[in-house]
Amino acid sequence: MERACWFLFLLLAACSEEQTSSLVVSEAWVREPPGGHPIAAAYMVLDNPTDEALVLVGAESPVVERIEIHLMSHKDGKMSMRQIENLHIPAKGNLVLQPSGLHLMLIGMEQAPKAGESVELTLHFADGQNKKVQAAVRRGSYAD
Amino acid sequence: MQTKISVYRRVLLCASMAILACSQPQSKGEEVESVAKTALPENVPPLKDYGGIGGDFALTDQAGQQFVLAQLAGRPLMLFFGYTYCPDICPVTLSKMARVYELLDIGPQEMQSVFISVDPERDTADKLAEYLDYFAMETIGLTGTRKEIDAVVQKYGAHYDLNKEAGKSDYFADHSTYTYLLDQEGKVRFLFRHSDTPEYMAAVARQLFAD
Repeated sequence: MERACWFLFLLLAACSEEQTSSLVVSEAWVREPPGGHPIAAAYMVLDNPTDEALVLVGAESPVVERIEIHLMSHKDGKMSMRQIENLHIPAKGNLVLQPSGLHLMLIGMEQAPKAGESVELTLHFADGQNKKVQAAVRRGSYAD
Repeated sequence: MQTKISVYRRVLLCASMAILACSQPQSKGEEVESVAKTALPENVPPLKDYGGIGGDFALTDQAGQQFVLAQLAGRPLMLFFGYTYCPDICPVTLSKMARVYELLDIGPQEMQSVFISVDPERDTADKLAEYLDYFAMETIGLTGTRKEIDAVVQKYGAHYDLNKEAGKSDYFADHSTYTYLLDQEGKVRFLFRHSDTPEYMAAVARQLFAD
C-alpha cells in the first residue's frame, strides 16, 4: 500500500513538473542603486532541469524602459562590460547571474528601486516560453 | 619528527585557510549591523614602493571646492577610480572600503577614502555627493575637466573607456578596478585587486599604522 502511494506520488510529481514551466529561477535580486540612479543590476540563478538547452533572449518589466544582458569580464585589474544577445542555460544545468559576472541591466526605471521593494521581470526564451520573476531589491554588500 | 609536525601544521593551516576562504559570509546587506570583530589575516604581503606611479594632483570635490592631494598630507588614503552609474564594481568596492573602516575601527581622520569619477559629464558635484552619502563613511568625491581627470588617471597608471555610443545616453564604462593605498606622504604603497576581501585590505593597510 505504502509503495503504491509512493508510486502515485512520484507519478503526480512528475506530471506536475511537466505542466509547469521547465525553468526554475531562484535568488533573484536587484541591487539598490546608490545615489538614486534609475538604473540597476539584477542577478539570479537559472536552473534548467530539462534535456534541452534553453536560450534567454531578453527580458522586460513594466517599470523598466529596457533590459540588456551584460557580461562583465575582469582581467589584469581592468573590468570590461559588454552587452550580449543571449544566454545559454545548458540542459540539466544552470546559469548564475551574479556580481562581477553576468547580470541583467535595468535601464531607465520609472524610479530608483528601494531596498525592500521588488521588481517584476519577465524573461523571454528562444523557444517562446516566458517566465515571470519577482526580484527583491536589496542593499548591496561588500561580500557580493 | 620535527619535520613531520611542521608538515601537519602546514596542512592544518592550509585547511583552516581554505575553510575560512570558503566561508566568506554571504551577507544580505546587513553590513552596518554586523560589526563583528573579525580576526584579520596575519600573513599579508608587506607594503611596496611603486616608484613610477602616483603623485599630487588637483581636482574639484563634491562640495565644489578645489582639492589637492597634498592637503591630506599626514593621512593615509584609499583611492579608487569609478563613476556613479557603475552598476556593480564601484558599489562593491565602496562597500568594502566601508568595511575596512569597521574592521580597523578608524574614521576618515585616520585614513581618508577618495573616489575619483572618470565620467565628469554625468557625475556633477551634487551627484557625487548623493552617491557617496549612500556608503557608511565619509568619502571625498572628486571630479574635474576631462583633461584634469585624464592627467590623474595617467599619473596613477589607471585606465578607463567610457564606451560612449552616438545617440545613446546610457553608457557603461570599462575601467581599472584597483584600489590604491597611499601612505601618510601620499606615496602609493599597495594596489588592492577587486577580488581582495575587506579583511585582507584592512590587514595590509594596518601596516601603515604600525608603530
